[in-house]
Amino acid sequence: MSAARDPWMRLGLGLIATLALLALAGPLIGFDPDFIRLRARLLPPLSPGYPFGTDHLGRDIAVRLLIGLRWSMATAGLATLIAFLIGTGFGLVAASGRWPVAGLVRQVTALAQALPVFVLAAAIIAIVGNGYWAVVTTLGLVTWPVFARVVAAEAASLFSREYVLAAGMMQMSRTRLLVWHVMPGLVPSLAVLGAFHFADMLIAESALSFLGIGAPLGASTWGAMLSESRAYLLTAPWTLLVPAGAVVTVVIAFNLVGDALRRRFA
Amino acid sequence: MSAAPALRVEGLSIGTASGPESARGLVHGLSFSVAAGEVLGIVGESGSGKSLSALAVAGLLPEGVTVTGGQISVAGVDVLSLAPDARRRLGGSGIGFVFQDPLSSLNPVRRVGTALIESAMRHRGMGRAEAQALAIARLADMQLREPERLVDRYPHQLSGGQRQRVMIALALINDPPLLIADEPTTALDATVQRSILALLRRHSAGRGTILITHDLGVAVSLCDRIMVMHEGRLVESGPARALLSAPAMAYTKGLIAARLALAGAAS
Amino acid sequence: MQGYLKSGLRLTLDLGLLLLGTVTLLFFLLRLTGDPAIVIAGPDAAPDQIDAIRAEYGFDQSLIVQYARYVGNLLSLDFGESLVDGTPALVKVLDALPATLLLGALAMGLTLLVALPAGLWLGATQRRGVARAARAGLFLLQGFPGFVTALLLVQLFAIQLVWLPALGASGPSSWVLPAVSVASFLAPKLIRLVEANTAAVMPADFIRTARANGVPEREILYRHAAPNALLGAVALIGAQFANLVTGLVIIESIFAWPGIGWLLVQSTVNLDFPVVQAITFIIVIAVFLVNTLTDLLQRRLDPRLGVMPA
Repeated sequence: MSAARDPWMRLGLGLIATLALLALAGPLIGFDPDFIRLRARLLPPLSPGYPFGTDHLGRDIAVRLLIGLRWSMATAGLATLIAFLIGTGFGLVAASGRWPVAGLVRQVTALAQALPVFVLAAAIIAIVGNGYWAVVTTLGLVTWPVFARVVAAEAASLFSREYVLAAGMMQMSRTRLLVWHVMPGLVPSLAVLGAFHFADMLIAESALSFLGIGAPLGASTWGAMLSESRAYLLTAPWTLLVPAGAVVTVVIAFNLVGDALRRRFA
Repeated sequence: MSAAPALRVEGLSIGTASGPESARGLVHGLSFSVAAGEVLGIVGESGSGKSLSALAVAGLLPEGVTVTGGQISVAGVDVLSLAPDARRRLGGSGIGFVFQDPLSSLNPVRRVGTALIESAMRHRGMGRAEAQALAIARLADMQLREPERLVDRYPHQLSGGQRQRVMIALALINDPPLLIADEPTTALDATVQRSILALLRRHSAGRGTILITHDLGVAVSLCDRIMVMHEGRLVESGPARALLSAPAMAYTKGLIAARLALAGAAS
Repeated sequence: MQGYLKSGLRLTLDLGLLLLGTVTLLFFLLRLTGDPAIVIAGPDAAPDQIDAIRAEYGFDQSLIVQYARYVGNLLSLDFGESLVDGTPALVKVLDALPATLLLGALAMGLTLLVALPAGLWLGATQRRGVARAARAGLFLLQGFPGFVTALLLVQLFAIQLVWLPALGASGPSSWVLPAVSVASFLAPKLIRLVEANTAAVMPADFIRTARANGVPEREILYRHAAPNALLGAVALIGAQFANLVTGLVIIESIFAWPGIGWLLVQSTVNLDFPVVQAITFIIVIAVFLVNTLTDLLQRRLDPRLGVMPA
């Protein structure tokens, strides 16, 4: 079934598009999320003016959700991009096999895979401190083996196929071979991997900020919102359920797209 | 010993559930029988429906393929009207089946003797020790050396010929009235083929044996009667030698001619 | 015997390289922010304390010397003292280890208990509506990050229903929610993997042979197909270990379970670098051990010498 007609793909893409629009439109709405109104504490959803209710400091949950959306999409997006760039680079080098560097790269990749991502990320952020760039670069730097592994395997097989063809036919430089023949062949798997990786990065980032690692103190990230909700589980369950629902929705959206792409390209 | 033939098939039709109407019929109105002590060869090209017919008799048709008409009786029992459980039990006790590729047909992570022992325990109600003794005896019958050690081996440790002997032992361990062998020697070396075929012949006393093959020469050397199939239909059947020397149908003639051309001489 | 000796040597070499790599990584990370002495001393240290640390660790000396000393320290298991309470970092970590092992074992046991039969059944049942519904359910469940599931479970069972405690490690009833939460990290993926393996095995010829010999479907699944399907799964279970570690870290924090994961988070937040360092080291060793063990196990279980193709 063509990707465009797959109903799950449409659902996933639709969700993502909506979320992206919301994320981009955020600042235009112009609310101040830190506007603490203690008189409006812990209002349930669908209270007048507060579609998702307020949290323990009277802050509008809908607005905080939006800010968190921007943070989540931005961190997951950039982390995925970094992992993608580094991983693809390393993968291509490892697959080329010719240069002695390739062997070293393979060893490094194997080493990096042995370390649990989360532990490493936590350790690194413990050292470098909090902040957007810390989180993004850490996650990207720690997860690139995922891309490297896939690219190395696929590129190696593509190389042996295309190269043999090309070498027999014309004197093509390796770079041209790489750019025009091997890379396009990688696109399908990279697309699938990208979608799933985005979801994984989103989960990892929200787990980190849930634990208080990475995001600046007081930032309106979904993870932080979930963490704060713990004290009010009995009295105000929506402070947990709404951000939880948001996280789950985004993750499922990207999983849907990833799955649909995988069906399309398998 | 019942007087009923080991196998009687009447008007058997097999088809698929899906796909274009025109392509759905795979076997049409097939009728034949096999008497006890007789070896019947079913010969045809691939796609002629010979394997499917055998699988239908044994109740092993793949997903989406079903019997669409006809009757099958094994030793007088109407197989198609049996309850699923009873039908399942027929396998291993009423019908023995030998498949083409013994390597893929044996479970790679189980010892070779286990299937034999379990089959004897299941269908004969034997205890384990008794079943094990029977398994070893049967392997010896198949002219396998050191059967008491073979029982503990894994399939990948045996040669192709040894594996096929194990498969035959497995098919025959409960003395079924009907044995079906679907291309039993095709995956084996030429040198081994003859001995396997001879083995089948030797154990054909008292039961009906069906040998399915695309090789007319094999059929003639082993079988009492031969039946030729083409595109799901019975083309011709008769005593082996007679068929070879005086075929009635054009298709059969064509088969023989092709084989002669390949082999360079009649068997 | 000789083969074992060779393998043993090779393994030790691999472990050594892995540890060296980790130590090197930590070494350079420490210097990322400029002055490692500040990182080790912590944010509240006075300038003379920092100087003392600088001298003690030799940060005022050349890089090579520093590296050698650092590696020497770590490999002799001297991780320094916790900045929070002064106890040796390694002692703190080892104290917290049993709790984590308990939770890990419970969670892994639960996961295997649920995931293996479920995966087998799903792999063998392609068309029935129940199977489809189950698959859809699994897909949804995978969309829930582990800690979200944990929070929801706490909300339901500890807060609303008050059946189970929400915090701490006070006895068997307090084990339930944490173990289930960690299991929810691992189970969906494992179920899908086992399902795929089983679905690949069911059409095999030897399954057909078993049917031809009258073996009932149930027995076919569990005694003929399962050994083949699960053989590949052993490696997969090992690969899940990284997920297990992640799950433990997060869940221990949610439930204030006094294990290594909780300690890691606390130390990270407190910038207690010596402890973070010790934990990382231990975890790397653990991952290596698990990988090696699963590899060995797989070889022992498979009667053929190579690995079976899925």
